[in-house]
Amino acid sequence: MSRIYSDYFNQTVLTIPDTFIDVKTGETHQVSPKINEEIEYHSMNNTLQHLIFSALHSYFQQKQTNHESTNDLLLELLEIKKMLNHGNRNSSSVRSKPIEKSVTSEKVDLKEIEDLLEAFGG
Amino acid sequence: MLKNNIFAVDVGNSWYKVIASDDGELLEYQMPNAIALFDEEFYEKPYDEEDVDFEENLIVEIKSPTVVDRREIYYIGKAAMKQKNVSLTSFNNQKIDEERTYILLHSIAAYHALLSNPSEAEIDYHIDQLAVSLPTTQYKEKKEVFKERLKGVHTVIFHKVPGIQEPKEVAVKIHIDDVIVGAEGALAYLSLTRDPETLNINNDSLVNDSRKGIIIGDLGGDSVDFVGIKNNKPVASIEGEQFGINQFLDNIIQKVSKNELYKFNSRSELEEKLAAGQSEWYVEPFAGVKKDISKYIIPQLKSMAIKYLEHFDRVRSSSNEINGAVRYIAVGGAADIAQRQIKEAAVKWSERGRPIELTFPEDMAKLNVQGLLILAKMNLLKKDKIGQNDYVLAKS
Repeated sequence: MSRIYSDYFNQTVLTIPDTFIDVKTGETHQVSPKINEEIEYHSMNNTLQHLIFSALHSYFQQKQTNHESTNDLLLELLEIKKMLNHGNRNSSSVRSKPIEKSVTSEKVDLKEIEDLLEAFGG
Repeated sequence: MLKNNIFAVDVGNSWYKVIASDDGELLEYQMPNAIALFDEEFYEKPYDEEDVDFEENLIVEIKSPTVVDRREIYYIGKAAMKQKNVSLTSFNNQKIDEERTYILLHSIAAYHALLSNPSEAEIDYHIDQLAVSLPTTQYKEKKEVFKERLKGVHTVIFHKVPGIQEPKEVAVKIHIDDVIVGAEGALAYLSLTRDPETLNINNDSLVNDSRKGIIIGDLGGDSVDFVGIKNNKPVASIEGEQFGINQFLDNIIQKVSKNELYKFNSRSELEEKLAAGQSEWYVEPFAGVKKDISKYIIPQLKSMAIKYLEHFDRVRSSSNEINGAVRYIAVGGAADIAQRQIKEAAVKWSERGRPIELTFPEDMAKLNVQGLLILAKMNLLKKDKIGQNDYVLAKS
């Protein structure tokens, strides 16, 4: 049986099932009377929204601090990478060197190439 | 020589694999074969422009003689995979008749052009030699039509390009001068025997084996292409089959969705997991909850491996020309993924007295596109030499 709690003042509606899945572990739990009580209280008090956000806030907070520092690092690295790439692309003098040896292919037999093209492509 | 733009595209049912060579500078791409219609109404503005990866935000419109102009805008590749209305290839996909082929092919060329010329709002990109693949079943009859449709000028308009000011459009004109088509599987042989730079033979033992006969079985998404090689040339008598990994992927996706409450957004998402190896064979239906999905994957790969070997066995006994083939080579992305299962299944064939000893070359999934690059270079070289001869004749 599920109950519906609402907070008309803030236009927040929340359906409370009997059980829920813990999204961190995947285990199923009963909704404890304590939780119901808390929701009931905040629903009456028109602060249901704040309860949910407080819960989510504490749920996310630990992880977030860690992530942010690595994200910052990654962003820095990305920026450096961009600058490196950009520098490379613009320096046309560097790129003008021939990249492939053109001499070697002179040795290839044209007749053989034509046969292969005939056999493998069209 | 070869100071040209070459674009080689392995037109796969699961992935488009690309090698672009701009005046000898090589770049590789791969893009899932997925498109989805764009709907402005459901377009979610990126939270932070800077964080948007262009590859995951490819929104394109194509103006081309090959595509009926309905002024339709598509998500393609990784961007399409994330959409609810994503369209993947259907069974027995006739590549040359499907608009998706042209939408994806021209777009990936335009994507490459844009990455090489990042700051311009309008780009003209010339491809001197395009090389594309077709399955053996479609190669013979369709290649001429395919070439004609691909040649010419095609315009790709990228919408909502991250990092570009409103109205966020970049137009890329793709000029395709010449097209050469290769058959999947046969291309792999080319790649296994030729040096991509000098175009000379770099694997004498394989070329020698081809005197007695070689069979290549290229296992892809929706087709398995068998190619017989005799005396360093493909023999025409073997046909491809409508069989590939996609049906098995679909089974895995269905089972995981039903039993583990996790829905893959596309076959390519699953395929990437499979290619990454067994340590990645889990899903996370909820944050931090890891569910092992190898129990759904392994039986599917096993049954695919058995069927693949059955096809191999039938092919080797059905063709007189390569009846005495001494080497069997497995290539293609799907064969790479199921390598272990194929080897296990091969043991059973030996026990039954019909041994199928397969060779698994390195970079199996990339051999076709590498073969296309070699084919394109050869064609350029031929045109180059013929041009020189004409010049000499005219002078004398």
